Amino acid sequence: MNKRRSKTADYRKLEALSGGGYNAAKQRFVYCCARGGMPPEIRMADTAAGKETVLVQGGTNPRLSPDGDRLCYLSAGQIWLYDIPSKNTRRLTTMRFGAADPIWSPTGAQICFLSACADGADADWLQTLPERGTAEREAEMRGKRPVVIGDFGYKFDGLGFQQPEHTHLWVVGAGGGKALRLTDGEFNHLHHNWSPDGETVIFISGRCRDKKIPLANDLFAVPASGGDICRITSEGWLASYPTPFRPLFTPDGKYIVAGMFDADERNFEEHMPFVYLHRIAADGSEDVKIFPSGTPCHECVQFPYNTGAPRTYDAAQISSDGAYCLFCAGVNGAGNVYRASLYGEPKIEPVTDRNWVVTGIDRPQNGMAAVSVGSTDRLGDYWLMNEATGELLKRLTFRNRWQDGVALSKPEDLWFDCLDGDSRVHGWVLPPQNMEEGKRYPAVLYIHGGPHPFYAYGFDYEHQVLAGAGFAVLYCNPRGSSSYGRRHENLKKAFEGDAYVDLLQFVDEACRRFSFIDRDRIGAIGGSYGGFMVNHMAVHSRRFKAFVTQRSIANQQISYASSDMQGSSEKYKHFEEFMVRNLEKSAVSYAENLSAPILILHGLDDLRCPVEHAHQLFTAFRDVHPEIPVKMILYPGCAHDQPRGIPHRIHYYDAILRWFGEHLAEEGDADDHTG
Amino acid sequence: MHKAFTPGKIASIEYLSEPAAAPDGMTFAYVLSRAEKSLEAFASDIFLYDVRKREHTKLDGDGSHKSPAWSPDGRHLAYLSDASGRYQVWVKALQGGAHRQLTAMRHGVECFAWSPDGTAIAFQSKVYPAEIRDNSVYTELSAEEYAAWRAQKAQEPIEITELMYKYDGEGILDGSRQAIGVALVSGGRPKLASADIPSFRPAWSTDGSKLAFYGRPHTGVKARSCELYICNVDGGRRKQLTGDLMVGGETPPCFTKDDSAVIIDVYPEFPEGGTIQSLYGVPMDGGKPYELFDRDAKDYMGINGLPVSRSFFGQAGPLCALSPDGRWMYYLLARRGGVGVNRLNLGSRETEPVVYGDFSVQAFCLTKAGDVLYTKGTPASIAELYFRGKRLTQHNAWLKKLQIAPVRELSVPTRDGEAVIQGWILSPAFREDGVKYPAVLEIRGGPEATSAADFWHEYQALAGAGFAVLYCNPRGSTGYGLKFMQNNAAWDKAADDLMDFVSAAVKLGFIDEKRIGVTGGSYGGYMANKLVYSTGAFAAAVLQRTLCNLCTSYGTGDIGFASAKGPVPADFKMFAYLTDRAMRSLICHIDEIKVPVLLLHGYADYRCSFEQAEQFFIALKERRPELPVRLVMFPEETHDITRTGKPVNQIRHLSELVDWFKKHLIDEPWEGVGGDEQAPVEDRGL
Repeated sequence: MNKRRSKTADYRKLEALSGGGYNAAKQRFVYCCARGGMPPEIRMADTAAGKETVLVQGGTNPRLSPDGDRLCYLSAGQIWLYDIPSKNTRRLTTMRFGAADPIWSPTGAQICFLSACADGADADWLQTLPERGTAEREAEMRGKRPVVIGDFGYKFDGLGFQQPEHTHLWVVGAGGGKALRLTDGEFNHLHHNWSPDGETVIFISGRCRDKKIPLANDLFAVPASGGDICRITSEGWLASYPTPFRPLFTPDGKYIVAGMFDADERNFEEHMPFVYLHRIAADGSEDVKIFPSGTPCHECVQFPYNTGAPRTYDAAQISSDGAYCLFCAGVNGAGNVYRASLYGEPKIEPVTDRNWVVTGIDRPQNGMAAVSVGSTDRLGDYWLMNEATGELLKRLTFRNRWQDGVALSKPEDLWFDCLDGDSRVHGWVLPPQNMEEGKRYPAVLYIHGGPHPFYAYGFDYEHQVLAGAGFAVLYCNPRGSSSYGRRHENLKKAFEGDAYVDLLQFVDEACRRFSFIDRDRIGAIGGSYGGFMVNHMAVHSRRFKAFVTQRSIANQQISYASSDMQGSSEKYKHFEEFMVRNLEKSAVSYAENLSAPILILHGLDDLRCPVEHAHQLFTAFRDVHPEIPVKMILYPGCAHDQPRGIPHRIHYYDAILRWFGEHLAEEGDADDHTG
Repeated sequence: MHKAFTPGKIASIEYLSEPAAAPDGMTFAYVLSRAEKSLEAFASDIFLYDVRKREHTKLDGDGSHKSPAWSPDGRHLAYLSDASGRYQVWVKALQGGAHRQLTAMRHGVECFAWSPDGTAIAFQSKVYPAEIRDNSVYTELSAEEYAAWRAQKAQEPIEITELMYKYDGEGILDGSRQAIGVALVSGGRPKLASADIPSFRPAWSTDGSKLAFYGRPHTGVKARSCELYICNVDGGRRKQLTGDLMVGGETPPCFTKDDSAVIIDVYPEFPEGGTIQSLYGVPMDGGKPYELFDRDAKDYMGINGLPVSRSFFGQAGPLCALSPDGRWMYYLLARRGGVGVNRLNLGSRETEPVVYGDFSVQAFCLTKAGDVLYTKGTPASIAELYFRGKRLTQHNAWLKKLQIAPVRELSVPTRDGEAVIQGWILSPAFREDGVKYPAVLEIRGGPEATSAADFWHEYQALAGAGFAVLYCNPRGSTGYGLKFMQNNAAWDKAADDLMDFVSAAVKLGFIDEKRIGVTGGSYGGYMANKLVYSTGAFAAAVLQRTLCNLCTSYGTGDIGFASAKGPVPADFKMFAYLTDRAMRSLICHIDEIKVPVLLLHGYADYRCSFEQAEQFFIALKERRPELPVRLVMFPEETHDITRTGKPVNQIRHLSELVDWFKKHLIDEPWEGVGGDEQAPVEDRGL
C-alpha cells in the first residue's frame, strides 16, 4: 500500500469546480476551476478534440452565449465579455455595488443581471465606478457607518447588515452601453429568467409581502425594455430557500414552470414545506400543480449536505423537446434526475437511478445535458448525460488528479430500524485510511446541519482528512433529514429528542457492525444544527469522550432576536413564558452536566447562529466546569460556514484534528496530519 | 440673536486635561484635545502657559501630544507623542532643546513617571510574550507598518481558554498584556521590570530605589482584580503587598514621604452595601494595610465618586496627590453635586475642602508650593484651566456666541422622608414666559456615580432643541454618603426618587407633563426602560446601550458570572440560574411598553452586547407592531460611545437622540393606539 494518507494541507491543492455550461453545436464546455486559495480560472474543454484551454485568469460564473461563441463572466464584481474566436475581452458593466448572476437573453443580444442599488439612487450614479482608491475607502466606510434598523430583515448571514440597498434587476446590451434598471423599491429581487422571445424577464420577489415572512415570494414579470411590473402569482410561495428554483419558461412562452412551497405546510411547524412543480400560465390565469402524489420522489428539489460534486447554476431545466421538466431530487440519500410531464396527466419518472448525487443540470440540447455528479469515490466532475435515458455519455472534466495518489477511504452504508419503530435511519461508516487488520480505531460522529439537509452518497474531503488522521467517521441521517419522506423529515423530531436517540443508536449500530471501531473512544462533531446536537449531547450524554461544536445554537433566546432568521414569541401570552420555554430547550441551560472536553468553533461574522451563542456557551462551561478542557476559537471574517480562505480553513481543520487527537487518540494511533 | 447648541458643536469643543505645573511654578503645561477635521478621531496638543506673560503657546513638534510631565529639576518636559508612529515618551529640554524620543516600544507607551533624581522614566506598555522573547517589543513600527500589522492581526483566529477573555473597550483579549519598564533618560534600550503578569501604573519610591505598581496575578473569575506590588528598579525582588483588599488601581500608587508605606485606592466592603473608593496605606514592612480615612467621621465619603455626564476627553489624571511636605493627601471628590479638591491630613485623619463650589474640577495637580492647578467646568461653561481661583485659559470662548441654557438646582424630599434628592433643570435655551415646554428626564449610568455641576453637551443639545432637561442624583448615587447608597437603594428606591423629582419639576409650571421623554445609558437605560413601562408618565424614550435581558447578557457581556463569589455549589443548576436572570429582566414587561422607543447601541459594546438591543427591538417589533421603534447600530463603538466614540459617531448618536424626541414630543406627538387612555396624573406615580 503505497498511497499516502490525507492531510489538511491537501486543501491547498483541492480544485473547486463551478458554473459548467455546454454548447452542443460548438461542442464546447466551459467551467470555472478554483484551486485552493488561487485566483479562479475559467477553462474551456473542446469535447470533440478532447483539449482544454484556460480562457480567463481570475473570473467566475462563466455563461456561454446561446450561439456558443461568447462568454460572459464575473471578475472584480463586474460582468465581462470574452469573445471565443477573437479572444477579445471587454468589460460590460461598471456597477457601483457590483453585478451578479448574469443570464443571456435567448437571442444573445442582452444580459439580465442583479445589482444592489442604494434605494432612491440615480441610475447613472449606480453605474459609475468611483475613482480608484475611493472604492476601497467607500467600501470600508460602508462597514463603519451607523446602520439604521426599523424593520425585520435588517441583516443576512454572509451579506452583513442591510445597508440601504436592495438587489434589483438590470439589463445590459451585449454590445455595451448603459444598463437599464427594471425594478424599484426597497425589496430584493432574484432568480430572474428570460421569456423565449426575449421580450420579458420573470423573477421572484417578496415585494408585495410582509418582511417578517422572508420566504414568501411571488412570481413577477417585467418587460425587458422596462415598464410596469406584473405580479403573476399571489397565492403560492416561490421556492428560494434553502434550495432555490429558478422559474423556467416553456419553449412556446405560454407557461412558466416553477417550484412552489407546499401550501399546507407553510407554518414550518413540523416540516420544511416540500417544493412542488407548478405550471403557471404566463398571464397568471392558471396555476396547476404538476406534481402528483405517489411519485418516485418527494419534491422537485434536494438538499444534499456532502456531494463533492461541482456546482452548477440550476438543478431544473426544460427538456429539449419541451415536453418535460428535468429536475434533481433526493431520495434515500441519493440525488437523481427525474422528469415531470408538463402537459396531460401529471406524471413523474426517474431519468437516472443510482447511488450517487447529481447536483445540477445545464440546459439540454440535442438530447444531451451537462450534469454535475458526486459519488462516494472521490471529488466529482462534470459529465454529459443522455437526457432521456440518464446514460452518462462522456466525462467533461478531469480535475483533482492529485487524489489518485491518496489512500482515499470508501464509506459503507447501513440502515437500521429506529427504536420507536416509526422510521429507518440510513448512515455511512468511513473507515480510517490505510486501516490495519485487527486494530481498533477511535471514531467521530459527524452530525449534519439543517436539520433539513441529508448526507448523500457523496464525498467530503473533510471526512477523508479525519480518516487520514486515523479516525473512523460515522455519519447518518437522523429524523429531520430530507430525502426519506415526510414522516422521517419531521422538524419537531429533529429538535425534541428523536434525532438524538437515532444518533446514539447509530453509534451503537456502527460499533456492533464494524469491529475496527473502539466504542470507548468516540467523539462527536457537527455544525449549526449539528452543533446544536453536539451541545445537546455534551450535556445529556456520557457516550462521548470529546466534542467539537461548530457555528452552534446554545440558547434559543439568543436565536430569537439575533439570528437573521428571527423567531417568534407570538404564541406566548407572556414573554417570560416564552423565555423559559426557550431556556428549557437550550443546551446552555444544562452546562453543569458537561461530560467531556469541548472545542467551540465559531465565525465572528456569523449572523445565522450569531457568535453570541459561542460566547455564552464557552462562558457557561468555563464558569461551572473550570476543570474540564474547554476551548473556543473565533474566526474573523467568517460567516455561518467554515472559514473560506485556505489558511484559516487549514487552521480550523488542524484545530479539530488536534482536539480529537488529544482527547481520543492513544499513543501510536496516528501521525500528525495537520497542515 | 444667538444660536442654540446643536449636536454638531461637538466638533468645536476643546477639551482640557492633564494640568502639570513646573517645579518653579512659572509654567503650566496642559493638554488640549479636539476632533480632527475628518471627525474620525480626536487629536491633542500640549500647551504651555507662561505665568509671567499670561499667555499660552503650543508645544511644537509633529504628531499628537499628551501627558506632559516635568523633570524634578524642572529643566525638561517629558510627554507622549505619536510623531514616530505609536505614542512614545519624548523629552524636550526647555531652554531651546530639541525633541528627543526616549522609548520605541512596539505598541507604544500608555503612561510614565519620572524617577525622583530625573535620570530615568518608568513606563507602562502593551506587550505580547512572544515579542519579549524575540526582542521585537523594543522596536517601533512606522504608523503604516503598525496599521498593516494590526490589520493582519485582526484577521487571525482568536483562541480562548480563560473565562474573562474580553473586556469592554479592549475587545476580545488576544494574549497581549500591560507591562512596566524603565528607560534611562541618557538613552539605551529600556528594561522591562514586570511583564509576566499584567502590570500597570508604575510609581517611584521617594528614594528612587523601588517601583510600586498594580498587577493582576489571578485567573478565572478574579482575573480582572488587581494587587499592589513593589519591586526593585530592575524588576528584582518583586513582592505582592496586598491580598485581602478590593484594590481599585484607578490612581497610581503613591509612596509616603518616608517610604514606609504605599498609598493606594481600595473599595472596602460594607455589610449593608454601598460603594466608597477609599485610600489605604500599605506598609512596606508587610504590616496590615490601614484605611486613611476615618470611617466614623460624619462625612465619610472617600475619594472621587465617579462624576459622569460631563464634557471631558483625554487621559484621566491621578485622583490624588501627596503634598510636597508629605503631610497631606489631596484628592478629587464629588460631594453634593460639586466636584472639588479636598485634602486629608495623614496624621490627624481630618479632611477639608480646598477647592469647592457649584462646579466640577476635572483634573488637578499640586505646585511645589502646595497650590492647586486644576481644570474646571460649570453647567454653562466647558472646562478651562484655573489657578488660585482664577481662570487662565479661554479655549471655548466660541460658546459665548451660543444661547446656553441656564441651570437651576432643585432639591426634592423623597416620599419616604428619608433623604433629599438633589437635581437640576436646564431650561429650554430660548424659553419664553407662560409657555409650556416638553421635557426630557436624563438618567445617567452607574448607579455608583454622580451627576455634577458641569457642562454636558448632551443636555445642552436637548435644551437647544427646545426641551427642559431634568437630571438628578437618586438614591444609589455617590456624593451623598454611604447611607444614601445602601440596602439596594439604586434598584429599590431610585425609581420613586426619579419620579418624585419629575413631579417637583412639573410643579415649577413651565413643563408640559404630557410631553416628557426619558433617556439614559447602561444603568440609566435600565431605569428609563423601567419607568417607561411602569409609570405611563413618559411619551417617548431613548434607550442607550440598554441591558434588558439578563438571560442572554450572560456570557455575551464581559461581567457577571455564576462563580463570581467562588466556585458554584455542587447542586448548581444553570437552568435555574438563567431562568432567574430572565425573570429579573425588564424584557418581561415588553408588552407594557406603550411609547415610541429609539435604541442606540455600539456593535463593539462588550459590556452590554449589541444582542441586548436586538432582544428589545425584535420583541417590541413583534409584540407591539404599531409602536414606532428604531435601532441605530454603530459599528466599532463600545459602551463608551458618548465619551470616547469617534466624533462623527458622537454627533450622529446625539442627533438621533434629539431628533427622536423632537419627532415624538414636538412634531408628531405619539397619541397612543386605539383607546389607550392615559392614566390621570395622580395614578401615574407623579
